[in-house]
Amino acid sequence: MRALVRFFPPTWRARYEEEFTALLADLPPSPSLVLDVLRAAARANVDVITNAPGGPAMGFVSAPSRRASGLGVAGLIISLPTLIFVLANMLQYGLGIQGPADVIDPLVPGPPIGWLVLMLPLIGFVTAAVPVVGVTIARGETGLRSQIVVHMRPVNLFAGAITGGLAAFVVAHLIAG
Amino acid sequence: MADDSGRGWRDPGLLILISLASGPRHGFGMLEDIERFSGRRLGPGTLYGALERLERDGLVEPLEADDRRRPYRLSDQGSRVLDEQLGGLQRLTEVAATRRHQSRATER
Repeated sequence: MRALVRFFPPTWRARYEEEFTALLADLPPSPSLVLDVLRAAARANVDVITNAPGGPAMGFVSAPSRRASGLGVAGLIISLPTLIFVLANMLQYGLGIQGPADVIDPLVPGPPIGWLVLMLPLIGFVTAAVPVVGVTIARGETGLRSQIVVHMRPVNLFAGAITGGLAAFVVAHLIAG
Repeated sequence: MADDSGRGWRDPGLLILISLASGPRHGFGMLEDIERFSGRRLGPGTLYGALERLERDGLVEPLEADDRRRPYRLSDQGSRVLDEQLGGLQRLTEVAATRRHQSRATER
């Protein structure tokens, strides 16, 4: 039972651990007691996060960076071959404009190069969208402090939408075909 | 107790204040007393979660620990808050009783 106290944040333990441990020693152990203590520990940890001195210990910080812009553009460039391939096929077979697919399709032979081209939007999406969010977690005097830093710029949103949409289209096409 | 006020008379914070109204008690004493007068068995985590909030709000005060068991007592502010809460509950009880009485009279 004593081990359960470890789930409480350091500030709570500094103040209440001794008397709380004494109380636990007076009570018969049971599953409902364990659940009650764990629920209280979870609430105490949430309290530490939301009531930390100097502001909440969990926060969102917007910090657009040039690196994020660069990754957004890189994601678009990575997806470009697939975008051209898909657009050419849509123009020819969707809108009936003869020529584009006849030119592009021979450049994309079967596996493995063909598969690689189809995978490019996924790689582009990961490149453009995932690194724009950073999480830092540090243990301070009042417990865990975490910060979610969003580096996103408009280009990341645009690249994420294009590459994500393209990847979804390709996957749906493969499943249907 | 602001964040627990929606639970009315079953609010652990209010039960603790009522328990301490007759004098200082430590955790185990509060659990037993609360079960005796309310029929509700609080868990130790629930008790200390509520105690922490009450202490933070200045409604209870810790006393010198006695062999690791620390008693608590009502602060002056805690006494005032308890009186307000009991007054509110009493008004609710009176309104409910009056309406039940009227309802029964209409049914007859």
